[in-house]
Amino acid sequence: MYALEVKGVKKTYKSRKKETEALKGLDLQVKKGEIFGILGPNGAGKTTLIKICSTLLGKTDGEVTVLGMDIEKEEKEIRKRIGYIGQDSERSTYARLTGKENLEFFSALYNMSKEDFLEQLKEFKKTYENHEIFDKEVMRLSGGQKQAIVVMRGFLHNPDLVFADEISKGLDPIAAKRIRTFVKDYAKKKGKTVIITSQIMSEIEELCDRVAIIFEGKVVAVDTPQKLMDDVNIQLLEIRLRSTETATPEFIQEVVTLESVLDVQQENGYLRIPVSDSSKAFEAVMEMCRKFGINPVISYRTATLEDVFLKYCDKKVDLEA
Amino acid sequence: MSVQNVRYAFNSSMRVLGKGIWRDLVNIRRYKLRLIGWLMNMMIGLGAAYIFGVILNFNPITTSQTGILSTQVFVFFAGGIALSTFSDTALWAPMGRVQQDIHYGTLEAVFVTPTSRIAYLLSPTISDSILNLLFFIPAYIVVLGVHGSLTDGYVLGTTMLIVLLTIISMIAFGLFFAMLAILVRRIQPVAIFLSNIFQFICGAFVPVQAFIGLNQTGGTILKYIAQLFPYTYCYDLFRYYMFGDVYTTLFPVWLEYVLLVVSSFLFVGLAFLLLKRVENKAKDSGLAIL
Repeated sequence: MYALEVKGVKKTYKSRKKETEALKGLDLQVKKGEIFGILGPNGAGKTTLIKICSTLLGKTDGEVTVLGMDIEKEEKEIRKRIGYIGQDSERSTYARLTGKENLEFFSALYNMSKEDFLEQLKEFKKTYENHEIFDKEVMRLSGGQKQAIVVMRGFLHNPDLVFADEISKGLDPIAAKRIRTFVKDYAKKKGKTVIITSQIMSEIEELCDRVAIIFEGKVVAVDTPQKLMDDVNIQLLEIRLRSTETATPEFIQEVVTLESVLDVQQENGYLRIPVSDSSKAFEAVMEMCRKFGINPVISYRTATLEDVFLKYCDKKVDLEA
Repeated sequence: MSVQNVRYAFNSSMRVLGKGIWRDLVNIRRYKLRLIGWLMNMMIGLGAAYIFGVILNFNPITTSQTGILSTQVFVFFAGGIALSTFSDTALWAPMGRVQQDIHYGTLEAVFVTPTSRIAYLLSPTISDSILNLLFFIPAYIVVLGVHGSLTDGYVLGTTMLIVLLTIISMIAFGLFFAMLAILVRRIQPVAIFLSNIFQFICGAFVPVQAFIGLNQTGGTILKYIAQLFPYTYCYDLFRYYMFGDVYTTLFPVWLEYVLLVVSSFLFVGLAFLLLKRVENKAKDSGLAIL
């Protein structure tokens, strides 16, 4: 049994003037205990999918099974067993209550006993070391600390499955890292399934066991991050020019004609050079740089998740040439 | 639904109601400026009632010509303030909560839980009523003392009765407005308009008995419509306690109590049924809730 199974789900938003098809027959399966990532550009349907699966939004067509239960027939039971962390939800706490009081309020909405709540709080304190967030009024916490309370709220009632929609959006790297660490440590320790959407590739790469890429309301790729990256056959040389150096059109023209070099793209003091054979190309490019009196910093990399994202979601940029 | 399920749902609803009230009371305790504003507002209102009471008390001509006693005048003003304050509370508190929770995104976090929506929406009405009472009762007792009516159980009892009847009769309509807020984001102007119409029909400005005098057919229809609403009986009983036997109520007083309570329960039941439909509608359309 899957933690989440989505079959041919469609969602159309209707207004007086027009109809917008947000999901166009989407299929997805998430295994129990997985941290599963959903990637996609703005408007791809990620939030719509998360809201449908967490009972906040109705679907137009298709089937959704959450923890083996039908989303329409067993809505209330599903709500008892799932957690939800909404997008931009940092303000969704009660500002004048402390972090602990906020969690306590929501524990009542899940009908948790006082003992269970205190036990869960203890668990959170073990995983999230900054304990002051529990005792201060939320209005006095930083954005990252508020978000930590919201994330804990999603895990509060010990749900089997948690939906997390862009949990580190707008946070600084340190706060984002803390949130990610909390989610990963807590979910793995407790064996929870987490479905997370994000625009931050490194976040998905760090957290997720598998990733689905959604584009225009459909899943266009699903696999482990590593497998997805392996499938994008990219070998790339990146040349960082020093501030005193410029890549002349003649230099670029010469590099393009080198054996194994597929293309040269210039942006913000960098030259990105997709190649077919990195070792051959590296030597040839170094030689060309010396000829033009350029002393560059050259790095070599294979495909990143961003390249995977671009491959599926931006048809104009095809690094595989 | 089994007995255990009913018991579970009831206990869970009571917890949510209790926690919602606790949340609002903690909030106001920490919002000092709002607390002071609230207190001042209440003092001004009761001070005005006291002044009116004293003026009429010292005017023997008014008393002899109208036959209205000073105590009744006092009840009129104090009761009026109570009625206005607590009908506003019952009518607007749930809607205010929904609007605030939509604005901050809290409603999503609440609606993804299995909690009782009705209990969640009712909690601000009760917490606001408790807060109002916390300020209203001490200030009211002070004014009663100055007026010399402290030992007059009739005055205090009548005012408290009006408070209670107002809250009971308005609870369902507060829920209806909260539902409108779930469906439509900027509903305030429409809600105020609807509330004025509703208050007119229930006899806030002109007694329901006088509708016929405005127009024979229309007045009669309006009167029958008014008799469906609990708030009509609230106003009618208020006038009865103000004027005593001089005033003829729509129905015998005991029957008005029965009608008020029964129709209040019916409307709360209707609100309960409608809320599920409203939530489904919001889910389909992705309206204000989203």
